[in-house]
Amino acid sequence: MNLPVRLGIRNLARNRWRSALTLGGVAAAVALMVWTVAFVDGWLDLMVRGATAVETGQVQIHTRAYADQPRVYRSFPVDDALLDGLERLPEVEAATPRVKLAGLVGNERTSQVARLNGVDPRREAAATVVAEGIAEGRWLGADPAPLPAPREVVVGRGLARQLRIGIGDELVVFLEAADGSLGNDLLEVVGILETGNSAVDRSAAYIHIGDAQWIAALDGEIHEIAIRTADPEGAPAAAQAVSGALRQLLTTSPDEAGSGSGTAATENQGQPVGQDPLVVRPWQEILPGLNQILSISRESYVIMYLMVYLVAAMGILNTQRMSAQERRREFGVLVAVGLAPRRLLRILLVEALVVGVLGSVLGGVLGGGISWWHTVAGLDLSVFTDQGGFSYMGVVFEGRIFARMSVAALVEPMAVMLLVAVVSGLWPAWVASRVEPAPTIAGRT
Amino acid sequence: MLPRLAWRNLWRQRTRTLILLSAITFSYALLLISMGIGDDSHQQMLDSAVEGAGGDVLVHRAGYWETLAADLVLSDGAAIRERATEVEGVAHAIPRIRMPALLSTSSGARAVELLGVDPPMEEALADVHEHLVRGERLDETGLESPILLGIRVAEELEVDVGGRVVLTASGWDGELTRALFRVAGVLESGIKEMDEGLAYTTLQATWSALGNPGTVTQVGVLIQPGASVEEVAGRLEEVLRGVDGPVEVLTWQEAVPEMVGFIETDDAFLYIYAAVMFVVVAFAIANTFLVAVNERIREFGLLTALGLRGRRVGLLVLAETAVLTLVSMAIGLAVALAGHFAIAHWGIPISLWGVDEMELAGIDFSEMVMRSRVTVSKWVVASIAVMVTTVGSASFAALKAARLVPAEAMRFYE
Amino acid sequence: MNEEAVVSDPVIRAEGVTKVYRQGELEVHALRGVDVQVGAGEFSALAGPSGCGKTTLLNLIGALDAPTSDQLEVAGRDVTRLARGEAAEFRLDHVGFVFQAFNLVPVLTAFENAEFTLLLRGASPAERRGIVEPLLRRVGLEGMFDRKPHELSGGQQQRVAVVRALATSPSIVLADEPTANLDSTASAGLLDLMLELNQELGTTFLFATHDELVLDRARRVVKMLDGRVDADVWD
Repeated sequence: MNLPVRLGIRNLARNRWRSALTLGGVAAAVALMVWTVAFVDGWLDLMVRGATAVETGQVQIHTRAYADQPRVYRSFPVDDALLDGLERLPEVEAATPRVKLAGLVGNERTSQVARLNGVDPRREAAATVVAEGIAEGRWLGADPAPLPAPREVVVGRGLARQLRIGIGDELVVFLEAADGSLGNDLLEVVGILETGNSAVDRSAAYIHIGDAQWIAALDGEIHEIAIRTADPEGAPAAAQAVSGALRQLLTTSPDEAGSGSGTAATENQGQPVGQDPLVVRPWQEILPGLNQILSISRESYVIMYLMVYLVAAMGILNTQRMSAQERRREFGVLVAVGLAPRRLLRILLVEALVVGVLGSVLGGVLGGGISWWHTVAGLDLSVFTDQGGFSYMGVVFEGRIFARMSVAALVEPMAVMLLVAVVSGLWPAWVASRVEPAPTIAGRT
Repeated sequence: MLPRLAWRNLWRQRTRTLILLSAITFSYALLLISMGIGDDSHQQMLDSAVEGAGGDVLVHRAGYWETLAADLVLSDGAAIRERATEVEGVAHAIPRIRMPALLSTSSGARAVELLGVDPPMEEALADVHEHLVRGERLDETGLESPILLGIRVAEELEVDVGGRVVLTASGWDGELTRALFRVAGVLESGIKEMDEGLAYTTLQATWSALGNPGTVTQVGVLIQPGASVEEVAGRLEEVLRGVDGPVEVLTWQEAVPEMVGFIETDDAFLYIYAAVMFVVVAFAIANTFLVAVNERIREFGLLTALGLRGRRVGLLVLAETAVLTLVSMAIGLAVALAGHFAIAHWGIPISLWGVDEMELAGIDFSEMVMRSRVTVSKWVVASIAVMVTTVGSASFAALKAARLVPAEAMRFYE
Repeated sequence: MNEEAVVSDPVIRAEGVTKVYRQGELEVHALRGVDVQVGAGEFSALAGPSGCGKTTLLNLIGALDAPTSDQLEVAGRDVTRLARGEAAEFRLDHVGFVFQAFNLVPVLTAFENAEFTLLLRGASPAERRGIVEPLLRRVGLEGMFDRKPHELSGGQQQRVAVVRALATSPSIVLADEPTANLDSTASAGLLDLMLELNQELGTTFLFATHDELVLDRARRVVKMLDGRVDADVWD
């Protein structure tokens, strides 16, 4: 081990109480930041998941007009070949077609406004986690029961509560069809959803895509394809890939693909008059508010670092200054026997770095441990509030919130602390290295 | 004598004292400012929650709030309102109809929440007319079935002032009912849920569309300043028993549990951070005073040899911490108050952080401007906590100083 | 006895050296024109009462401080205007020091303290071991290499300091009151050892002291008074 490191470690060991208290302070700061990063990461994951995984998906395809303003008649045709073709893309894990309707559902007692999603049960379950949110009953059957049996419907918990209905109850749906007529049908509740996405839980209902097309007079057409990608962060790139693939897949079909990512110029090549182009958008564009919140939350780390580490830095600075002052005679002798001031400065900086390293490791273990615990077992929000949770940006946070422990969450706060330690050791080291050997050794300072 | 001695001792190591001083000042001011901003944001959230819910205390037919079912109604809103107004602590009682409905025109249909209100009474809670961008107030228009639409609703239905919209709703008996309304005005508030999903009309117009005059879904009660929400709710429950069948009386906390949950969680996190920050500061203080005691062992030995009791030597160390903390807190308080007044005066719109949309517990806060608010009791508690932490962290050093044996201390040299 | 001694091949050549300290408004004339030469291999002492300027002169010779005026050459080098870094380098190359107290780094072992100057010179571990080990044995510290300073007696600590001073084969070893904190037995032992080393290695030793034990052994005593050389006595 080289001299500065040896001196640094031995000086720490020499003054145990002081070192323990200094390292304690540094470790507490690092642990807090590790936990903060892991917790916010977990939180944001939950938010992205709550907001995209349940219903939105990571990438969506609509007609340009529908994307501007949803209308029941702004639909486009789709077939299995197109969907399978999309699913063959490496970026795409699953794609699900949807008919999106809004209408009143109710019974003889009461009715509520609901968003009706007409879906292919198998594809929807593959592309979203909605089927995992079944709290009672079951998800839609793979094939709709033959007529005249009532059509299957799965409703959100909030909607079920408001309509005071349970499994097996019948509902009437009433809505405006694509041709301007009023469509209606009789539905039977087969499942109730609790997904953690407030919009779905409060007001969504899922029915078979065929039933939805029949009620809304949309023969074989849909409003949206929702796509699940491997990585939510990579959605914009996936959208580009999907956009390119769509153009290929649609060469035999009447539609033409365009990209939603500001490449409007490519939309209308060879477009038949009256045919609406398709746009492909990642969730970051569909839910800009959520995207902003995510980037703000990440930027807010910087502020947290600034506040927590500033206080820790003052602790290090103070200790280093004290330690240097105590040893000024020692430094005087060392400089007298030929230690160059610049070398002394380096030794003292390494000492500060040793404090940083040990404190970071200690804090990493402590913060990493707590974060790991919260990653595995979660943190019960009811510790903080009797209400048991809350909803934020359309996502319900309830019960246990899980942190996401990652290498970055562990390493970043530790690395930043090393930098902080060296910087806060700079001034004490500089002052100490300016020691005047003659008067110091004589005890005249 | 002790404080003066403490004060002079502190300035013997000026750099060290200044570092500690700035650490305590910084953390203390930061804590107070964070609390100020947090308390104000939370108050705004609560105000919005109260406004969104319809009052401090809400009276409904039993079971209504959970289901929002159109058949769970108060059949004699006027009677409830009258009784409620007489209750001690009640400032206003506002009858209201809330109902999900479908509005349609030849261009399309839009699901909205229809609010049937009495405009003059509603002003005690919030005057929706301040968001009017076109058209007339509900109580000034000559139209027979007037309706105010959120601007996005109007755009989507492609309708403007004077135009017609058809309302479809399931009436009190669950039967689908349709009625014609005329657009009296268009509202633009910047609040998403209002602009995109609300329609206002009068109680009279709602009754003429749906029948059963006198029926309301909610009576929202505003309490007098200083009155306790829980107590008023208790009294209301008492008075309204049996007036109009079984009713539920909810405080806004019970009505918007998600908001209360957020605020409590947010506060809890602030306290966690404050606690860890002060642990870091406490370590630094404990450290410094331990070193200071070591440095001055001979001096303390001298003091004891001169006849100063060990206990008083310990007290001297504590007095030094107390003086240091008091000075830091005085500066910190000045900094925090300056920050408080600046933020309270200018405000920090959340759009400044680059956020255009924010939703909490189903309520939109995109337009929120963060300001600051001093909750005296909280500031006092925080200050005591800081004092206790800092003085407590020096207690080990004080103990060490108090236990010095004079002879040993005098013999000790570097 | 009072005339200036003629020294051939001087290690130290001081001519009219003055040193003025400022203490606020006050000017303290620590040295008022010192002329002295010290030759290679001498075992000499600067003596005199407190405040006579002997420590100041020693510090100037060791480039720990700069003179206010005139000529001072040590090991053929002008040491009157050295920058901090240059001064440190000069000391490392030409001067060995033994101080009154706090000579050693508390957290380093006897061996590590002794090899410290060699380490600064960038000597390899084998080189350092080859030089320091025999010297430590020579001064009677066999078996104490791994002891920390607080595990050694005062005399033993000073011996480690002597080894450190000699390890770099300096032109001169400066020792400021090296026996002040030792009892007479330890002092005598240390001084006898230094004298032996002076004879064995030919290293120049210059003391600043008023300890009779030192003055007894010194072959030349330069007596100082009020910042001037008062007498130069050869054995």
